[in-house]
Amino acid sequence: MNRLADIRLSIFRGIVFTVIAGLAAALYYFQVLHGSYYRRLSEKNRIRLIRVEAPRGAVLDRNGVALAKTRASLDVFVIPEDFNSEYTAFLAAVLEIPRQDIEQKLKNLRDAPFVPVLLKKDVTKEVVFRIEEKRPGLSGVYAVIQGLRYYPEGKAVSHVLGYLGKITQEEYAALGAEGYHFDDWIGRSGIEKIYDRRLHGEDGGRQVEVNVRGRQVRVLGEKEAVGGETVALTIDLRVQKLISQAFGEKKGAACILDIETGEVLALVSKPDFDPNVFVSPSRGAERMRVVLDRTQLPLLNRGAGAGFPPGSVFKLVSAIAGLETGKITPSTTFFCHGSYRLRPNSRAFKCWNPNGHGYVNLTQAIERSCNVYFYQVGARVGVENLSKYSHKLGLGEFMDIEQTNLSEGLIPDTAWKRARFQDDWYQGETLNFAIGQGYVLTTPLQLAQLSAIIARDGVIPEVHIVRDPHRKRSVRNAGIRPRTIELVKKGMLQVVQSDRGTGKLARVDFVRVAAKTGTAQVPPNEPHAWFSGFFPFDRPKYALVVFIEHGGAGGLHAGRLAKEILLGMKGLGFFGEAAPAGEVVAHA
Amino acid sequence: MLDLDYHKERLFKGFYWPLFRTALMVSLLGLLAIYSGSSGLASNFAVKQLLWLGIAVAALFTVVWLGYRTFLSFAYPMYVVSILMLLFVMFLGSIRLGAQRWIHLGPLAIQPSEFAKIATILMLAHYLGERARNRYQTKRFLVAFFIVAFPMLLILEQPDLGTALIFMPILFCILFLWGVRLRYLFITAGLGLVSMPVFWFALKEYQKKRLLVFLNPNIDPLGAGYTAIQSKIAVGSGGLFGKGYLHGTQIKLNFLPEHHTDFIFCVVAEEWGFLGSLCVLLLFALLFMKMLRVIERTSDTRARLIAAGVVSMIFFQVLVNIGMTVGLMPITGLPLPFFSYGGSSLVSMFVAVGLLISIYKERSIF
Repeated sequence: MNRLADIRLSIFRGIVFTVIAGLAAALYYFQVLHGSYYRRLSEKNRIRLIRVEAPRGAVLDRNGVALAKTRASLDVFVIPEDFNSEYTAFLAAVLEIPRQDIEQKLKNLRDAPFVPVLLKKDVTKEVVFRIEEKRPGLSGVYAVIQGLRYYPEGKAVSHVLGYLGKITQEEYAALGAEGYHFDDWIGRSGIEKIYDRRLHGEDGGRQVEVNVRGRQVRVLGEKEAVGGETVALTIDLRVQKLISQAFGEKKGAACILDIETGEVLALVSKPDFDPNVFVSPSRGAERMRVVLDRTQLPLLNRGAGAGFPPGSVFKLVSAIAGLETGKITPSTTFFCHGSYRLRPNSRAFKCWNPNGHGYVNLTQAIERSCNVYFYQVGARVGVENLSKYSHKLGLGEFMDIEQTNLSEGLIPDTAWKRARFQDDWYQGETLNFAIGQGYVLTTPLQLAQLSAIIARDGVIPEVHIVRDPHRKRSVRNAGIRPRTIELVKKGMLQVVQSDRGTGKLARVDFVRVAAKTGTAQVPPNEPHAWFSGFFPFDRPKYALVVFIEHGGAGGLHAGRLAKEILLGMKGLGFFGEAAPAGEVVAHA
Repeated sequence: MLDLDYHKERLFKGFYWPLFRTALMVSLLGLLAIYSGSSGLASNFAVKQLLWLGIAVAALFTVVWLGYRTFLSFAYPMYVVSILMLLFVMFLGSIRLGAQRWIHLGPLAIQPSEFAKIATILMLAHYLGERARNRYQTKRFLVAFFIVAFPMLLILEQPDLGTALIFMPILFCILFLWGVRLRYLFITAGLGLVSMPVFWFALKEYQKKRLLVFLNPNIDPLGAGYTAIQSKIAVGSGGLFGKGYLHGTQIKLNFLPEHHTDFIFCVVAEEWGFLGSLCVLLLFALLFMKMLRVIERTSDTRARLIAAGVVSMIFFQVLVNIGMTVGLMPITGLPLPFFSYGGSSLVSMFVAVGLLISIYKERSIF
């Protein structure tokens, strides 16, 4: 019997030590084999990374006026643990948000009651004062100042600046490694998009240790946020606003270039939008209106992002092509009796003046914008040459300017037509091409550049909108003979200065302006009105283009608007005694 | 003078010091762990526990002085008293953490279930040890079963599932070493398994959750599964060498609750790493070795059964408690013997050790 007891005791002993060994093995498994995994989990438990958002860099105009900056936004947070729920109704009333919202947000975080919850962004100071007044009751509720993008000039520079949006999941996946946060803002168009990396800056952060309830125990490490760089534009806000006001409710675009430097002083597109609606939490409805407006397309940059038929402004290209190819000479004259037929029995291409212009030479044809003259130039030069000289003069080419969604316009040729319509190019189409009708499309910015090229005797200006000292300068030349340029310039001068000129309404007494008007037919709608020129004639300094979408006759409406702009610029001192403020800064 | 010598001899002659020293060492280690585990809390439980340790050591010497035979002769009344205490706690005890487990005596809160365990062991030893195992086994077995069933059901009612369930291995071990036919044990175990669904419905909601969560902690990671997950993280993150004494983040920052009582082992595992855990396990192994030696050395069946009951009680608590910290056992509110904060548990453990020392001391008498 004792034997049985001894055997059983041995079995019992065996079980005890085997189990102890088993426990030791289990601990070895968890602590040694998987120790680093659990170590990571425990670090994740206690360490929180609090992002300190880098303030986005400012965008300035050429005189240092802020066009986009980061302003302080007062955001209201609550720490659920410290909040007395009796005050929920009061808080909801002060913040003007539904009571249920607050209750929902408080409920969601029952397990980490010391983690602050965002209640409302961008409240007014008065709201914060009201919260402060209720202090003992409203404990746990506090306001934090955070950066919010702000465009002090609202609509005035909208398309050039562009706007911001929240980063998408795909973008974050692509850019997350480059310092973007999953809740970041990112430029969606314009300067905001192109210069996003520089404007963004580098977020800082605080590594804090928290306890199980989310309360901060101590700061483990800290990295300062590095604010974004400032970007200075060539835009002169005063001119920009002047043009914007002159446009009023009209649709269209206008641009002023500094011919020598290629700087864009103003690039206006109408209708415009207020980029603030994309970043202001309270302006969601306006944002949707801007984005969804399919008839006015306020987001479309009509100055650089869309091509329109140039109409008679294109005759400048036809003239240059004719002279350069030798198909016409300075003394070539054609007779205009109101229309032109390729062959006696083919259809008549009309001049805008049904009575005809009689005998006209090149400068007179430019001055009076005679269609019949340029029909004959086109017929002699041919589609391929028209196309070739268009490209030489920057049409149908993308511009290297710091803007998004640029349009290259459209310069047709026989190959293009074949590819597009599987059809031959007809000679009649060449006639339309020669007067800027038919397939040809140009952006207002391209036509401003065209005037600038003519004004600079064939030198292509480097059109740019950002003042970047590191920008590489390259001088390109369209390679047009001086004699050709001289003649075209003379014609353009007469357009404004001669009483028979189509642009005489733009004439002012303080500066000699040379230009070409255009009235592009877009049946069944009103034609587009164009005015493209440069001034002062003797020492060209600025190129100006005015485009009014469905604005009627170019000479009439665009010409008038051009004059208004010139008068406004005079008021700003551009032609007067004092040099314009922009100049001072430019040479400072 | 003569009196003093007599008492000295009665107390210290043949005293099994190695067992006492091992138990004391485990307790002191526990004291260090409690100090670290409660350093973030309002009151430091280490000081209180030190007082309890004093009381526990005094209790041990008292038990040794009295001798285990005295206890055996009072086994019936002690058993009855412990049942009465359990009944008292059931109707008049204070509720803490959703369970009625404590009786308050002035500043002290005592847990009758701890003493019920000792009383039941003595009762079983007394009953079975007096009876030969070769006759009336069924009757013996059933009586033993009912001796255990009474306190167990009362404790289950508190509810304290962990402490209640520890009675089963105690019963099994005592019966096993007494020499019961193995078929009784197998049949009981089989019946237990079959009747599990019935017990399932008798469980409180939180107990069911704990068991479900044991099977898969991720079904409720912020609720019932939270402790299971955080305890595993605490143990695992200790690694080989630990995070350093007083530097356990899971404990300091309160990610793991109950870390001075039920989850005291996590403090050891997190701060002293695998090496520390191993030391604690080895100390327990040493303790069991000494206790088993006591069984070996004695020929008094009742004494052997007391020792068997004590070893199995401590052993299963160690297994369940440490197993629970790494998710091998469900979470039940069982303290780690000698380690966890709590006076009743500590005193009853030292009383149990006292009984073993007394058995060792008095082994040669006959």
